[in-house]
Amino acid sequence: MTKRSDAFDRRRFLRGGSVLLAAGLVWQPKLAWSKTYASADEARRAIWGDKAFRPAPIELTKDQMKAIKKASNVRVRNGKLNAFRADDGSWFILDQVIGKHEYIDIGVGIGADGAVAGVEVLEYRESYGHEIIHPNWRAQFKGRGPQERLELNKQIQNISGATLSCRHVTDGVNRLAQTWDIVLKAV
Amino acid sequence: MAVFRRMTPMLGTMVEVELEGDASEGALAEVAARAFARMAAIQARLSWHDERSELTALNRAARRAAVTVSDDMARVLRAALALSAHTDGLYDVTVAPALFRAGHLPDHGLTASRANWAAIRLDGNAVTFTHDVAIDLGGIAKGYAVDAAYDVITAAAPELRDACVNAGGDLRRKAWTDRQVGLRRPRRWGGTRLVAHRMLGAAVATSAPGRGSPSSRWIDPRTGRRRRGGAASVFAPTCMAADALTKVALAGAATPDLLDRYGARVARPGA
Repeated sequence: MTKRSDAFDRRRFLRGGSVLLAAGLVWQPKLAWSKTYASADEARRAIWGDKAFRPAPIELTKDQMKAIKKASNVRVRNGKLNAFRADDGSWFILDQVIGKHEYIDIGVGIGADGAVAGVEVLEYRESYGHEIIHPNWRAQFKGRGPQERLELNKQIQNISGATLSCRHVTDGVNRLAQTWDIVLKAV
Repeated sequence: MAVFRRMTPMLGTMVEVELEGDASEGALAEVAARAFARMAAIQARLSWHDERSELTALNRAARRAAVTVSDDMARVLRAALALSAHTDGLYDVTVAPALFRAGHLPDHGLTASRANWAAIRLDGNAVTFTHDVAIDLGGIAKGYAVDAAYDVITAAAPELRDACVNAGGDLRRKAWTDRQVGLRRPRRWGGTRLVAHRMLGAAVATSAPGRGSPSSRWIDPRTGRRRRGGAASVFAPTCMAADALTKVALAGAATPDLLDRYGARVARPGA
């Protein structure tokens, strides 16, 4: 009898513990910084003006992905190319680059000659885990839910730091330039 | 009230222009385009990495004869030499050879002696090198480009409620008072953390050599050695002053007198 109630208690204890653990994970103040810069249309217009583009989605084959990786030295994560084409052979491609802490949506214009005509950021996201420090900052959030913690940009308008590298973006642009050379040129 | 934002890779980093005011989105976009064009022009003049830049031509020719440089080049050099004088050479734009010898910069076939900033003669827009030196404006030109783009914006649209030019964290903002900036600082075990800080000036710049960008290095002109680690953020009225003073602050030499001269303040995160 006592044995059974022990087991019951343990189960209940574990269940309670996992609820607490889950709550702990949810309440971890995971801070993300994000800014929206342009819609796909705005980015396309910033690069190509009023030139008309039609959707021209491309599905890369395994071999093409391999060739692009070899030529650009950048891993091809996505075989589906969200591409748009103009009658004169110009391209506009929506893409995402993923850095160590950043997710960046970009729009890239590539001319009929394969030259990169422009790169526009659509959305920039950066995660900081829980590594944010400010005594007053913590006081501001005392007693509030996790939702507020996520909205870093409301309190901080800019970030200053020498480590914001454009390497992942330029890698992504190189990958798309090679994609043009290997695939789009012949479309 | 319209807000317009645009971000694109430039100046070796991600550059953002943010405008806010009672204007059509098209009008704001036009102002932003002019600001980006100004930065692109400055990059074409002052970049070490671009072998066809005015800077590379200057480095090749100024040892032999006086070279007449652009106003942009003359302004940045004048500011750099003034800071070198104020800091007894702790700030020095001729440390590039230590960087290209270590493979952190392309050398463009340049050679350099042990001479320093004192070998640069600037007379109006005429530049002469009295010894073999090579100028790298990596520690100041980005700030200058931000200021120049900011000036384009305020000249074209003085009525804007707010304007901000941010080149990878070296930034200048119009409505900066009572604003918070997140200072991206290196963590001891790698990665970065964000420290919230009140804006103490219109411009702020941060240097954290060797963090995030593997080729980012800071040369101590006293020893000629490359250093990495550490971080410094400086607030100032202009981004060029903030950018250049971060290098002095990294060396622990941003004295109150020097900061006063520039109206600058070093960020004390956590204080």
